Parts: sequence; C-alpha cells; structure tokens
Amino acid sequence: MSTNASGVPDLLRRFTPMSHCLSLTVRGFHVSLQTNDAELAAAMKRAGEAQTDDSQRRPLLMSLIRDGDAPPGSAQVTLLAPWPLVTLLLGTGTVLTLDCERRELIGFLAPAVPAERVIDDLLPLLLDHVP
Amino acid sequence: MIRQITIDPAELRRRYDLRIAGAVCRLSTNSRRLGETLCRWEAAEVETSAAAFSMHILVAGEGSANTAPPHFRGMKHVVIASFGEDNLFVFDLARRHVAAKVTEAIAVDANFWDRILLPITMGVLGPAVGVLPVHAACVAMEGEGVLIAGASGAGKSTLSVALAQSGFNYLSDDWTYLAVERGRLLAHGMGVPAKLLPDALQHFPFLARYRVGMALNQEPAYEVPAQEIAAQVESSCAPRWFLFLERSTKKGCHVEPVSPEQARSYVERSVERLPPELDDMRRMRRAIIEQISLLSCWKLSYAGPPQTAVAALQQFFADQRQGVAV
Repeated sequence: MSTNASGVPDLLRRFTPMSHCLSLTVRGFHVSLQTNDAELAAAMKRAGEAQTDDSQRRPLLMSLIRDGDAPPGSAQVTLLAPWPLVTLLLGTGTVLTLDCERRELIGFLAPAVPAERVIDDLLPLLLDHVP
Repeated sequence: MIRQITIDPAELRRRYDLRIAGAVCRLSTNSRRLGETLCRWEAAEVETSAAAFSMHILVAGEGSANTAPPHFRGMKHVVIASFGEDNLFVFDLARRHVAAKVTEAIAVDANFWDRILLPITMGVLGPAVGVLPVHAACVAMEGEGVLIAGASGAGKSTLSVALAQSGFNYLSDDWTYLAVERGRLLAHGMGVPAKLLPDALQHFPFLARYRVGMALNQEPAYEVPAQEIAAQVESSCAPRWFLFLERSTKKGCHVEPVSPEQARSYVERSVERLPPELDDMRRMRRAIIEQISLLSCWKLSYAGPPQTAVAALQQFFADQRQGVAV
C-alpha cells in the first residue's frame, strides 16, 4: 500500500507513480498514455502507430495502473454508461472509466489481465463511446 | 460475456431530496423500494442555495442479500467502488454526481446504505460539496460540541461512549463531517453504530448484551447502535472544543493547550490528500481546517478507565464555561 506524504494511506491508489509515458495513435485515436506497467507500455507501442503531426487534434489522455492488490474476479465484463462517464468492470479488480467530455481514460488493471487483452478487448469497448 | 447497462436519467422517475451530513443529495432512481429504504435521510426542506450533489441509481436484478467486500480505486476526479460484480458506484467529483447500478437485494438493505454506502459517499464526495470528513469522535453538551481526534487505537470510541453514558449527547465515535454553514462551523454525525473493541467490556458492562462481530475493517468488535449509547443522539452541533487524545501511562488525566498552528497542522496531516485536478476543493477544505484551528484546542492524555477522563473533562468543561483558566 502506498502512503502519501502526510502518512494517510493512499487507499484509492490515486498517487501511484506512472513512469512510462508515450504518445501514439491507437485505433485512430491520438493517445497520450501514462502507466506504471512497462509491459503494457511496450504492448501499446507495438499495437499503435507512431505519432504523426496531430497538433490540431485533442489527445485522449490515458492513465493506466497495473494494480498488484486488485482481487481476482470472474470473466464477466460490465459496462455502465451514464453519460459522460463510461465505466468498464472486469470481474471486480479491473476497472476502467472513460470521461467522454474530458477525453480522459483512467484504469486499474488486475495482475492476471494480459496487456494484449487490455488493448484488443477492453479499450475498444470504451473507445467506441468517444464522440 | 459483456453486460451493458445504460443509465438513462429519463427512466429514473422517482426523485428524493436527502440530507446527508448537512449536504443535500438529489436522488433519482427507478425504485420505489430504494426510496423507502432511504426515507430516514429525506430532507424536510431544501433551500435552493444548499450545497448539493446528485445521485442516479438504477436498481436491476435480484442479487444476493450478502454484500460482497468493497473494492475502491480512484484517480483524478473519478472514484469507483464495487461491491461484487453486481453493485457498482461511480463518483464524479468534478460534476458532483454519483451514478450507480445496484441489485434489488441491496436497494432494500438499510444497513448497507446507513452504515456503508452513505458514509463512504460523504468520505469520497465530501470535498466536492464542502464537507470535510475528519477522523474524530464528537459529543455535545448544551449545544456545544466536543471533537475528539486521535490516531486509530487512541481510544476515541471508548471516550466518546463513556462521555455519552455520562450525559453528553452523542454524534459519532470515529468519523465526523465538518462544514462551514452560514459562516459557522458545524459538525455532523451519520448515526452509525459505535465500534468498541472486545476489551471495552471491562469499562462498559452493558456490552454483555451484545455479541462481538466482525467490523468492516475485519476487526472483532462490538457494534452498538448510537441510540443505545446515549440518552440523546444528535445529527449535528456547533463544535467549541477540539481535543487531541493521546494514550498515556502517566496516572490521572492531563489537559494542556494546543496552538491553532498545531491544530491546523494535525488536521491537514490527517485528511486524505486530493489530486491536483481538485484544486478548488482543496481550497474549500483549507477554509474548513482554518475554522477548526480557531476552536478551543487541547491535548488530552489519561491513564486508566475512561471514567477517569470523563470526571476530569466534566470539571474542565464547567470551568471553561465559567471562564476559569486551566
């Protein structure tokens, strides 16, 4: 469990450092990714295209945390879609939320969910909702 | 398998105004039974200027009567809480909104809402609606509140219950929700049961009527309904004193003044850190902490049974009211 400077435990994992940052195009979206997971960053790099000159486009900010403490869950995927937030729950330990208005996607990934599954299965379910 | 749940506000036709720790919650749901479960929180009247947040709750599916353990995560302005795979809450601090899907079994479980979900909601959303959750017990006497802060295990619950048993009105034993309303600091309780560790039985024989159960944090504890602790349970009061409770091995009860700077620093260090995206909320929270630091602040340490401290505090508060220097 991480602890913030004041000594109060960071129960929500809000302040997990994310040292891997990259910009790329994924499924047609200009994505600015930050993550604590080197494997996910590498897989995203393989799956995406190098960033071209997209200075006119507003990027989708993606912050994804590999969450070592997340509980294992079933394979059930639930998508809860009250505009403008769309939340995806896989089991109970993997949760991703897309803020369609702000073009921000945050997520916590359970250890057992492979990077490829995140990229190929989970993210497309959310990216479909980006206006 | 993918289960898609769309929450369409047009389908949430039942509307309720709730008052939770002083904040007004505008609830929309499709479930009459959920409205009935939450009726004790209904606001008698709602001023248009009241701090408010909205909650959209879709009730669907039967589900299990046993609540699954909670799982919380959050980043930036979003906090997600799930209780198993069938009960999901998404807190949006930027928009002061909660969206949720729960089962029928959860919708009718007053225990879940009163003791778990609504306190969690104020813990998470508090900063967005001008409410600061503080890890402190609160009791009151003649309308004047006493906040009792201290680290976990310092004895906040034990002392607040002992004070309540001695005639103080009871608000809370662990978390108190503070807000500045019309320029005045107010403390709110949520009416949740007091949690006392098994060894508290030696101080409170009435606990023999209860069974030791497993509290939310998986600690064995007595959980005693607020109404059974005190002659009167209050939902809010204006705090006058702030006591910092410390365990002591020194005999007797000792009270010494604490400076506003020390009080401010203590509270700032003990509240949850907020991300930079929520800067407005941090400012609002600082204003509440400033008001707390203006209370009459004291460090309290005692050894022995809590009744030792109660006797000393009764004299202390009486002296304070009469302006006698300590």
